[in-house]
Amino acid sequence: MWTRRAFLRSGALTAFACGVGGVPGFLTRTAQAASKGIQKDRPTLVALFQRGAMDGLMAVQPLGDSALQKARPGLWLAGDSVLPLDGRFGLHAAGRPLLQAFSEGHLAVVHGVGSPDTTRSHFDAQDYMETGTPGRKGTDSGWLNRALGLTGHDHTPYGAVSWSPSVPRSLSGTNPALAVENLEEFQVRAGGGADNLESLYAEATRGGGKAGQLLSKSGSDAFEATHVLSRENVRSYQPANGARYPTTPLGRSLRQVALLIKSEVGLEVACVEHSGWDTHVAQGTGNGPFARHFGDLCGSIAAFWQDLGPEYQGRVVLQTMTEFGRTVAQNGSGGTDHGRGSCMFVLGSAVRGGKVYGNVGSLATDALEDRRDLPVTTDFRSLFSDVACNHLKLKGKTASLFPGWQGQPLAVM
Amino acid sequence: MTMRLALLLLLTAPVWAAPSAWQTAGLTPRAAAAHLLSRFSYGPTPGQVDEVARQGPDRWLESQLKADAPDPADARLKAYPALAMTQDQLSEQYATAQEVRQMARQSGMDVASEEGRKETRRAMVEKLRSEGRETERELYRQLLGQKITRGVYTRWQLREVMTDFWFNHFNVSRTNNQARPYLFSYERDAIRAHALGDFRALLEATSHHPAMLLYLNNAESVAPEGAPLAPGIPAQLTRRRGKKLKGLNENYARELMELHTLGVDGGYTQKDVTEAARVLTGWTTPLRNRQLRNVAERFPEWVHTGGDGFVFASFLHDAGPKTVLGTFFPAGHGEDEGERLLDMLASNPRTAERVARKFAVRFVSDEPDPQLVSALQRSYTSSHGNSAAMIRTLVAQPGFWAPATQRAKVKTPLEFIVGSLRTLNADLNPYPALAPWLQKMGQEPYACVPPTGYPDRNEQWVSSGTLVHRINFGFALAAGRVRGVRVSLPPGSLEQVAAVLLPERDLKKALGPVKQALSSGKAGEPDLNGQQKIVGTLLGCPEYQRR
Repeated sequence: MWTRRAFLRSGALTAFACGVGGVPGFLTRTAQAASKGIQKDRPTLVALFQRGAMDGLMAVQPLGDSALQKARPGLWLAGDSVLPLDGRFGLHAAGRPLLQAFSEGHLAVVHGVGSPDTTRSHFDAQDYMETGTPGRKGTDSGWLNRALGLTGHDHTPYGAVSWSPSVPRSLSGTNPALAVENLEEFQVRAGGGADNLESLYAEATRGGGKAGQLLSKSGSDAFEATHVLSRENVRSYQPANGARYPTTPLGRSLRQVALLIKSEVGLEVACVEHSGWDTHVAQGTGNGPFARHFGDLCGSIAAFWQDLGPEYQGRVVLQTMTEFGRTVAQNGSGGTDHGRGSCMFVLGSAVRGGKVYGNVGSLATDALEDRRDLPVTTDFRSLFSDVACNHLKLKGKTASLFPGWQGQPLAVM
Repeated sequence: MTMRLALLLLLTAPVWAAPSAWQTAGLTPRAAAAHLLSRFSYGPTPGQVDEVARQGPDRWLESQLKADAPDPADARLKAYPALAMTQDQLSEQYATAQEVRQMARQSGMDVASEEGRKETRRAMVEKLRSEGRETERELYRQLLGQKITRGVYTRWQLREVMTDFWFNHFNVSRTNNQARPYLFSYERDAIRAHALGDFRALLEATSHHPAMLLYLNNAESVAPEGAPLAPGIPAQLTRRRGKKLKGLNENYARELMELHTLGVDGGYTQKDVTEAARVLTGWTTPLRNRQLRNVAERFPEWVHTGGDGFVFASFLHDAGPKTVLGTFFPAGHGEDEGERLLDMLASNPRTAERVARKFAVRFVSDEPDPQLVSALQRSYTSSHGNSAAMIRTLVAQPGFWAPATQRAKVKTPLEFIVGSLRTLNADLNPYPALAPWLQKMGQEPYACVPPTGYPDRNEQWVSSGTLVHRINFGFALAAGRVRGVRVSLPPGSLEQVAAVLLPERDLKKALGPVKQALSSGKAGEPDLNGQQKIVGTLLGCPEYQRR
C-alpha cells in the first residue's frame, strides 16, 4: 500500500518526467530555504585532524633542551631547520608560511596537549578525542556534532561539512552533516533519473530498519546539498589576496572551505583531514617526510588565512588536533614511536596568539611520562572548550559538550 | 522388524531428517539462496538464485567451502602473467619506483624537473621493456585487474569474499612505498591461500611476509643497544649492525596484539608491547637490503632464510629473557620465540572473541546478537580458528536467518561495483577503469592507509558524498560509459529488470514512488534510453545499496 505522501510525491514526479514545469516546486523551496534566513556573520570553526599522531616535539621544538637533543640526535633541528618563536620554542622551518600569523598574534600554539587516557592506540586515541570523552567508548556522538546542536541554529545543507569520504567520528551524531571529499565532483549525473531517486531515498526509511534510515538520511542530505551547490561554480573559484594553495588534497580541501565560507551558505563546522603523520621511519630533519608534510600543513593553512582576508578572518577559527605525540627518543629506524603529549595550533583574529601555551618541562628521561614520552600537561578539552565557548558562543554549555569533565578552559581566546 | 526399521531410520536420519536452520526459520529455498548469496558472494548473477535454490542452499555453501573443482574464471586470469611468478621472479620482472630512479640517475637523465621526470619515466619504461621487464605500476594494474576479474567471474565466490575479509583484517597499504612491491604476492600467498583455512596459518603467513614486515616496520626492529646478543657473533657482524639498524620499532608488535589478535582491550600493557617487539627482533626481509643479503651469503649460520623473502637474522635478535602477557620467555632463544608468541596469541580467548565478532559483523549485521557471537567464539576455539568451520557454525544459527538481519548491511563500494557487474553479465577487459570509482566511493583499492583496515559498519560506506558517486556509477555503467566494461542490460519493464537486479526483495516497498514515472516510458533524457534509465535507477536506488 502506498502512503498518501508517496502517492503525492509520485504524482509530482510523473508530471516532472513528462516535462511539465522545469524544477519541481519542493526542490526550489529547498534551495531558497538554504540561502535565505542564514545569518551572514555566523562563526565558522575549521577542525583539522592530523591523523597518525604528529611529532609535536619536531613541529615546535623546545630549544636548548640537551636531553631532547641527546635522545634524538638524528631528529634534532638546528640552524636553518628551525625558526625561533619566543625564545623557548622553535618552529620547524617548513612551517615558515605560518610565521607571520604568529608574529601578528593570530596564531597560538598549545604544547604538551593530549588526552588524560594513556592509550597509545591511534584508533582509541582518535576515538576519545573526537567524541570528547577520553576513556569512554560507546559515546554515540562526536563533540563537534554536539556543538552544532548546542548552537540552536536550524539545519542547513552546508551547516556542517567534512572533506572526507565518510563523516568522521567528531562530526557524527544526530545533527546532520555532509561528507564530501571534493566539492567539484559533488554533482548527480543521472539526468532525469535523479528525481526518481530523490523520492526513493526520501522513502527509504519505510520498513528499512537502521540501514534504511541511514540511506534515507544520507540520500536526502545529498540531494538537498547538490541543489544548493549547483549555484556555485566550484571549479572557477579564485582565491583572493594572492593566496596560493599547495596542490595537495589538504590544499584543495581548505580552498573549498574558503569557498563555502564566502558563499554564505551557513557553514558552521568544517572538518578537514590530514593523514600520514605516523612517522615510524626516517622522519628526516630540515628535509624529509616530516618536513614535506609539515610544509603542506602550514602552507595550506597560511593560504587559507590569506584567502579569507580581513573580511572573513573575523568569523573563522581554525584549530588543529592530533591523537597523541611521539616518543622523545628516536627509534631504531630514524623515526619515532607512539607517545603522549603533542602540540596543536589555533588560528583566528580573536585568538591571543603569538604565544606558546602549555607546560613543557625538562625532557630528561626521569621527567617523562613512562620515562619515554612528553607528559600530557594540558587536557585537550581545555583547548576545545575554550574555542567552542568563545568562538561558537557556547559559554555555560561545556557540561553537555564534554560530559563528565570538570576542568577549566584555557584562555587562548 | 520394527527394531530394524527404527535402526535404519536412526542411521539414515542425519542425512535427510535434520532440518537446516533456514528451514526452521521458515524461509523458502529461494529466500535462503538469496540470503546466502548476499552474504557469501559478490551478489547473484542473473538466474543464480534459482540455481542455488534448486541445488539446495546447504549444498551450494558446502561446495563453496571446499572450492575444489576447476574454475572457469581461470581462463580469464591468464591475462595476468604475474599470477604465475614467485616473489623472486616478481622482484626481478617489475622494477620498483626506486629502481627506476636509480636507473635514470645512472644514465644521467633529468630527474629534477617535473617535465624532465615525465620524459625520463617514458625513456625508462622503454628501456625496461626492451629488456623484457616492466615497472611496479604494471604489477599494480595486474593486482587490481585480477581482483576485479575474480570477484566478477570466479565460481569460488566465498573464497574471494574471505580473501577480502582477511586482507582487511591484516591490512597492508600500497601507500607505503616499501611494502607496495610485495602486495601482489601478499594477497595471493599470505591471504588467499589461507582464506578458508586456519587463523594460525594466516598469522604465520602474514607475519613472515615482506609486505607486512616492511609496512609495520618489523624488518627494521633490532635488539636495542645494550641488549644481550647470542654468544659467538663474529665481530664483522656486530659492526654490520650498521648505522641504520639501531633498536626496537614497536609498530608491528603493537598492531599484532591490538589489530590482528587480542584487540585493543585485550589486556596487554605498553610493557607487553615492548617485550613482544623484543621477541620479534631479527624477523626481517633481505629483499630490500643488500647488506643483509651479503651477510646471509657470508655468514649463513647467522641468517636463517625462511624462503619467500623472510629471514631470521639471529645477530639482530635480542637474546635476553622476556615476559609477554605473564608468560616467561627464557634467555638464549631465537626465532622459535616468535612462533611461540604467535601460538600464544592465536589461542588466546580474546583473539577468539575478536575474530568471532568480526565474522558476525561482516556476515550478519553491525550489531550482531551476542549469542551468535558466542557460538562463533566456541567454534573458533574448537576448530583452531578455522574459517570454514566458523561459517558452518554461523549458518546453523537461527540469528543468521532472522528477518532483522536480512538486508541489514550496506554493500561496500567493492561489493556494489562488482555486484552490479555480475548482475549485468558484464564482459570486462583485463583492466577496466574502476579504481577511480572505488576511490570516490571511499574504498580506494589496496590503499587503506592505517593498519586497522576499513571499519566494517554501514556508516563507513554511506554518506551524502559517496552516495552521489554510487548513483553516478549506476547510470554511467548502464549507459556503457565505464571504460573496459561492456554490459548487457536485462530486457523488459521496470518490474522485470528489478526481478533480476533485486531478487527476493519487496519491490513494491523498494520502488513504490518510482514506478509510474518510469513506466510512463517518457525518459526525457537525451543521452539515455529507457532501458539504461531503468537499470541506472535500480543500481542507484537505496534498496540496491543493501545486502
